[in-house]
Amino acid sequence: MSLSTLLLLIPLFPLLGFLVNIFLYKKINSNYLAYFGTLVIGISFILAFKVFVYIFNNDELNVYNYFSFLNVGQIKLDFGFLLDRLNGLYLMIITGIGFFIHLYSISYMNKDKGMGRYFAYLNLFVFSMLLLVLGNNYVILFIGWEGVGLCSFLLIGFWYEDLANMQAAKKAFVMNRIGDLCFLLAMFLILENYGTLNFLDLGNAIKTQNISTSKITAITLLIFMGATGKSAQIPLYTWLPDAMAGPTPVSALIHAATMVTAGIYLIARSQVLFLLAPFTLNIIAIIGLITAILAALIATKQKDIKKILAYSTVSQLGFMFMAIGTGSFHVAVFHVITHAFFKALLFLGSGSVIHAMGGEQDISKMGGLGEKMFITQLTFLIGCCAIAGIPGFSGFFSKDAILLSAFHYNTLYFALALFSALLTVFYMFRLYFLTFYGKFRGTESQWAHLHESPILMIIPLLVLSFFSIINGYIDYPKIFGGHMLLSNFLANVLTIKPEIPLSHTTEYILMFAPVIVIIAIFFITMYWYVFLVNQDKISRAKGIYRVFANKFYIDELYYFLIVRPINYLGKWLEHRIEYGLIDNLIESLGRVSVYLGYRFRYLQDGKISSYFFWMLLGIILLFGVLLLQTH
Amino acid sequence: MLSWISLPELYLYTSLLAIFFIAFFQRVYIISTIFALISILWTIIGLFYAHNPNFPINYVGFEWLSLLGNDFSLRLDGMSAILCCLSSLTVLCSILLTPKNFKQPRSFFILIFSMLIGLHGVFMAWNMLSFYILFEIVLIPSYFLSINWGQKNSLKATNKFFLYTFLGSLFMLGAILMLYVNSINYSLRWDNLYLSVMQLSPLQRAIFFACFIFAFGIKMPIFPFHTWQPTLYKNAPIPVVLLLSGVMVKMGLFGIVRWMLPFFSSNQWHNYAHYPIILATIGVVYASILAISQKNLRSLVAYSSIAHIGFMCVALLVRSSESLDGAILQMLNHGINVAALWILVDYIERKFNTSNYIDLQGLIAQDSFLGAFFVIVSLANIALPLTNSFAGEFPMLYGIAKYNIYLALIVGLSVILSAVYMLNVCIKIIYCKYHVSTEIKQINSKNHYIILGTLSILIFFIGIYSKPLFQLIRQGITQL
Repeated sequence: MSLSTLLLLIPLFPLLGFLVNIFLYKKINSNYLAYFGTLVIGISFILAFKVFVYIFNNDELNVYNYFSFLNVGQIKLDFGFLLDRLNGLYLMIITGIGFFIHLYSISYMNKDKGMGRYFAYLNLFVFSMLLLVLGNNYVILFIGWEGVGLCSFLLIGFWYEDLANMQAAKKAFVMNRIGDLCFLLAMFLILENYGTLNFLDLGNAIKTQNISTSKITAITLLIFMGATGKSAQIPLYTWLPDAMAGPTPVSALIHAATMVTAGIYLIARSQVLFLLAPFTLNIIAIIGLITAILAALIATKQKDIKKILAYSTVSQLGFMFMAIGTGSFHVAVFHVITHAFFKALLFLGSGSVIHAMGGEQDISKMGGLGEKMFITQLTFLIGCCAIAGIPGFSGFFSKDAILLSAFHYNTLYFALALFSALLTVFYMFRLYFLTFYGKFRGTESQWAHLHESPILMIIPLLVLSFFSIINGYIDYPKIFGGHMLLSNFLANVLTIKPEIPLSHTTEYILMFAPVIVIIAIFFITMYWYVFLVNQDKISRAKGIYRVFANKFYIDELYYFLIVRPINYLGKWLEHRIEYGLIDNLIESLGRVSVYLGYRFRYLQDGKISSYFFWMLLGIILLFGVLLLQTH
Repeated sequence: MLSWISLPELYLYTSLLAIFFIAFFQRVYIISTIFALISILWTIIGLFYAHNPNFPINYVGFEWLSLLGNDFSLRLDGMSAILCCLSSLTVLCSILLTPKNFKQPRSFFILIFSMLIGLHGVFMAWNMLSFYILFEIVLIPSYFLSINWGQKNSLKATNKFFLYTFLGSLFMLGAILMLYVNSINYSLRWDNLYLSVMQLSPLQRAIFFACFIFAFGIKMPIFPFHTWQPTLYKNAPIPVVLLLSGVMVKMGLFGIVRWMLPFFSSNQWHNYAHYPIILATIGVVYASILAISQKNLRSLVAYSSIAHIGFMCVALLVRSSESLDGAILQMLNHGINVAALWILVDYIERKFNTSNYIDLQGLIAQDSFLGAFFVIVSLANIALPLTNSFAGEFPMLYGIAKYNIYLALIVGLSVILSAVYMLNVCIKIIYCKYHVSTEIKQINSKNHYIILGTLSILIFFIGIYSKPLFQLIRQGITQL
């Protein structure tokens, strides 16, 4: 099979799954549909693997155009795919993790009456995500970009009977739309200045065309603002924690592993532009850092297991943006990969916990679950170690690379980044110990109901934990005699900053001083949350902690600054302007004409004498005018 | 083929024949449906011939007022073929939507087909005089249709609409007379008008621009001339509203493209166009914000339509080639989407006896087809990629951005705001727990679903493969 057909088939299979599911879910037993939905992703995964092997052996850029999508004036866009090593990696993540999450969902959702609909949306999501990474121009990417946004909306609001879920879904969509508008404007500027939206042609056009730095800065800032929507950065991050209203596997796939990293992909794809805009990179570095710290602080005081993970995702995405901002694009991609696995693992683990607890998500009502759920506990621990950066686990390597990049950027910046990394350790192990250790704080019936999850849920957990451990070694640092496989792999796609050599001592200190602190935090957290804690203490939040627990009141701020004014404005415009002013004015115009008609009708009162009077008056006036003119 | 009759004639004779048959035979529903289908067939054939307007089949000229140097001529090109197709399609929708127990169906259908004659004529007119007359002819059936079959407040609303648009037309007539007096050999044929307009003094040219934009601005309508629309849409019967909002308001947009744009050089145009651009831009944001706070489906669709029309108007007025093509395609798209929305509103009103949000909740539980179509149409209305509106809006917004990036930012706010109001209404009436506080009727939903299904297919087809339509439009425009 030729590569172009192969590439086309990768997204087409999930699309087929979507169509079959959406049209048949009322007619066919939804279990079959669930297996079918999983199968198509499996096939996609196999095809993606074939493609990946090819791209692994042949480092080249492949472009295939299928048909003309939009062809208007300057806009000449083909529906085409592109394959290089960057999206080759993404293909593997999307279909691979996607497959295991589908598998997990079969079991997780099997009592839900909307299972067919669920798998339809999930398949549609995979399709859109594949379109996003495969597109060979910005518009195809944008189709996927909006498509994943739509699926995110549909899946957050999957249990649509609950108004809160739908509000969360709407919030996600609208906040993404704000980013999308910026993205659209960025595309327009690119098209206007470079005359193309093709990634390949853009790369060439940048070399030949001389566009002012301010314009490039504007373009890149707009792209970045687009990315803040999808990748949940300040100021558009507040939708992600709310998005946890959806089913847990959805949170794992969409709101942790794949969709939220689309922003990173977009920026990595546009790297040629960003390298010319140091100002934007600085902004990205700062926004990433602030987001990472803010979200980590909030996470330390949350009680909902999924909310903690959501804030941790926001924080980790902040880390990825820090890597980009400090100029190490490949490190960001590295963290995307490691994060995808361990965060999916953590979410699926939390799903396993929620499943066992009968829908309970509040960790202050858990505790001691390890006793009954050994595998979940173990895999969750692996996930925690990975995200916390315990040496040997994948997060250690990627986060260390980010910190190293931050160190080269600025020492203060490095210190703050390190602080945020240490916060991660704290809130993750707080979560871990509160959930799996100590005394059970829920009801007795819940305790009786507790059980280890079924096999279809366990397999994905085990597979993902395996990868959460070994993934780090794909970019094993040189200092340990590593070969930097990933960096070399991506060398042709992403321009990699030449490394500033550090003395080995410095590098060791940078790497292992934090480790000591991490281990210290680990034990303190364990002591605190296993032995000292009780329900009262978890719920208590005083002083600054209250601010953390209330998410810095950002939601309230947005409500007062944006939502409420727009609602008031709408009402005001409707009553004062629409009816009060415009319509009133038009109607008075009508009334004036009626009034005039009423007045002037006396001119035609039917009396000959008055007609003569008016005639005479007219004649006199006419003569008067003529007289005046002749003089 | 068909050398003895031209396509424009064919369009008109079909409607005339329809009127004849409806007037003298029984079973008016079936007759009207058949003739609407025939009309659609011709217009689809027209799509294949219109790429070259110089084909003799695309032109017809009647002797008319030759003493005054004019004739009654019609000509089909890409843009008109698309809009004629839309008109016939909308007429079919509105016929299928007419309830079986409608009062006086015979006169209703006769008026609908006379409206179709006017609409087809407007889109094909090749002489400014015939354009003006047809433009006014459309008004008459729409007046009677909304007054006679409307709800109880429709008298006031319709009078307002009639007088308002008539006022606009009066200005247009004045401008046409001015043009006529100054024209070369007193011909108002499209081909001769460019030179005639060239001869005008700058002041006269400005008057020409202002009068025409005023007339078209009321018709579209753009801010602040839009207040007739929500009241009318709230009170007129839905089969009529479908025609008004799906096709009739496009006459204003079409008028700009056909009867204003070609006669001005780019510089002159931009001198005058600032002002209507500002108004239309305000209108886009204004109507979108108002749409958010509506509590009734009919007024929601009305305001959303005003916002979209404003968007198209800005795109036309900035006059870049991308935005022009996009806006013409968007006329078709908007026609399809707004028709689909009205059909949904009609369905909801008939089944649940209300279109107020407050009485409706969770309809998807009661009727999953309704929910699915509502969501699809909403997505098309917010221009999600792969739906038809995206193919139109992307070039439109790009053209606007080329003109001025800040303008694109403001107009682009509708990208966000449309998501807000459409999702709001989805959440309020489609999702959440099922609850309807009014009496529910069992109705025959077959027709609604057939139309909605067809329209949904069109929505996705145009969204994915817009190339042939853009080619058609481009070939229509290059003739200018």
